[in-house]
Amino acid sequence: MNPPPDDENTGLPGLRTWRRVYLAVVAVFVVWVGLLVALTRMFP
Amino acid sequence: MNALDYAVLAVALLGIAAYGIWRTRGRCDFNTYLKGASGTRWLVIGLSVMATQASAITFLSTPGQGYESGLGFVQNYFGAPLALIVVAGVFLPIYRRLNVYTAYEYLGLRFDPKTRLLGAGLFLLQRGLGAGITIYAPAIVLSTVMGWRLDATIVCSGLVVVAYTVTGGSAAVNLTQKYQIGVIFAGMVAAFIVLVAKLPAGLTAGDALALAGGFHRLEAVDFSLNVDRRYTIWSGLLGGMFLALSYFGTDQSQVQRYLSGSSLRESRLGLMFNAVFKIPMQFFILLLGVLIFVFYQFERPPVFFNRAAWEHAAEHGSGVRLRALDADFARAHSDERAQIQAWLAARHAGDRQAEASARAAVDEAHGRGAAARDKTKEQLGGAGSRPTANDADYVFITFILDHLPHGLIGLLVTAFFAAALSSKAGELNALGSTTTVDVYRHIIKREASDAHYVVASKCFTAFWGLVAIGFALFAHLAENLIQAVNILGSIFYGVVLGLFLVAFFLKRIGGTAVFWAALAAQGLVFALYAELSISYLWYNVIGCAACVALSAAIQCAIGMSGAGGRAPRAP
Repeated sequence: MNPPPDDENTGLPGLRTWRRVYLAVVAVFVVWVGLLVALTRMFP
Repeated sequence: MNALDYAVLAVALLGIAAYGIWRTRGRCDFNTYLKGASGTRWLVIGLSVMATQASAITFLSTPGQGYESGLGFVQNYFGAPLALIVVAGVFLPIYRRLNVYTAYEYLGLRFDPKTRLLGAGLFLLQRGLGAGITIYAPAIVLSTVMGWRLDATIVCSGLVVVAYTVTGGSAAVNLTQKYQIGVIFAGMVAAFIVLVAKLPAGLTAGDALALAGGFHRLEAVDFSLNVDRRYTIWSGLLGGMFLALSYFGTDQSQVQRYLSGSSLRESRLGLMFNAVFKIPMQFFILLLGVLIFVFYQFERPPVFFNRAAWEHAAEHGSGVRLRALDADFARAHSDERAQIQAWLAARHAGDRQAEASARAAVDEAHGRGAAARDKTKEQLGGAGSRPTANDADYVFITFILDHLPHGLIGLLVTAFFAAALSSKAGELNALGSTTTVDVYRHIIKREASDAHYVVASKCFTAFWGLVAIGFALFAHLAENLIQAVNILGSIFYGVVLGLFLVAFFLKRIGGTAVFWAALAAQGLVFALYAELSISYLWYNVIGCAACVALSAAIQCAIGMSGAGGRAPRAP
């Protein structure tokens, strides 16, 4: 099997494809928004 | 500010600028001048993208927004991570494959020269106007508070940034932004630590948050469907995404930053760095403002933070009335502070009834204080001392000058100037590049040496720097400064984004259709902005949707056959 081109290699452990990197970023975003919603609800 | 503060300011600001000039001296290759050093890594790109977006207004004005309105403004950035993923996955590979210098070059390759010029023209118009604001905004606040001359502050800060941007081009911008953002972060973290240390002893983190929440300062997410509300999760996700998509994907001041990456990987990681850290950074800055609000519940704030405006009015006939209002405010604040102590004691004791009673008394006293502030603003307006920036813009700088130790005051003022210079440098670099590549090289002088275009680019960068300084010298703003910048961007960004979305995704639409559609859509946005009072974020969606829909309609009207765009090839 040919190694992926340099640009396709993310170089991130556990996140070897860009699709996974993007999903990880979306997951972090969801966590941020969830925390902000929790903050809003905890101190009305 | 004392001598130590001025020393910190001079050494840090001039040192970074001089270092940028020295490190990039003698570089006259056109590619390096416009795109920066070829080995730029992802962290530098990420910091550079962040520094270009986060101007001095961000750090001066955003804590004031947190103080006045709470955390709701953070929703404005909810669309940014999603937009950055689209830019990294779709826009960036195309720009790199075509090896373009500017985003608008792509429009020329995909459509035709007139559409390229339209895209570049809208950018130059919008960013040229905005460039004045990025110098003016911090200058008006800092000069008012420090007692400096406004024109001297504008000219000095403007000339410093022009000097190293013209000399070193994109490489100098990337290099200096790295150190400038370091100074900014150090200053903001230091201010946060001092602020927390100055909160009353015995006030727990839970108390501080409960207090902020009691004044509606922790309403970070609003699910309301009311389009008149300026910040809701929906306007942030949809309008904010369109704004961020247009800003990061089509604004040359950002495109130029990430095109300087040594590879597609480095550029993508730089963008993902911003996708992850943009929301927490804005939250942190707003939280700083919220904590300043909590701090001023125990320490009496000025009735009006822009004290220069207050004193000017007091000396010109309104002194008696203003001092009476100040006394009313002082009484209301004193009552409010006593009731807050009672409220916290009841909260610690778990006495719900006493807590509710004290809370009602706090609200009553707070209402009296707010009424005194409103009357003070009216009095200032009536006395002809109408301030040129929102009073919220003076909250953070007032806290810094009144409560931070010397040395740290210098660091924070340096941070504001560093932020002003870093975003200004990115803008000037982009304005110079776009004028050179999309106007001068494209229309006026098509065949010339690299050295000639480098000189032309330096001249155009200097020209835009002087335009920005001139605009700043004669500008007068009324609204909160950061909102003014976002409103200006939202009026133009939607249509520009529409141009690019048609280019990327609607292959059968040609240049003539999209050109006229963009002009009509821009006219529509101007008309709606004059007539409606909806959140400005929605204009990004409206402008973009109108441009795309009208492009399709016009293309249908003039016929699909042979009218489609061409597949862009690298120049």
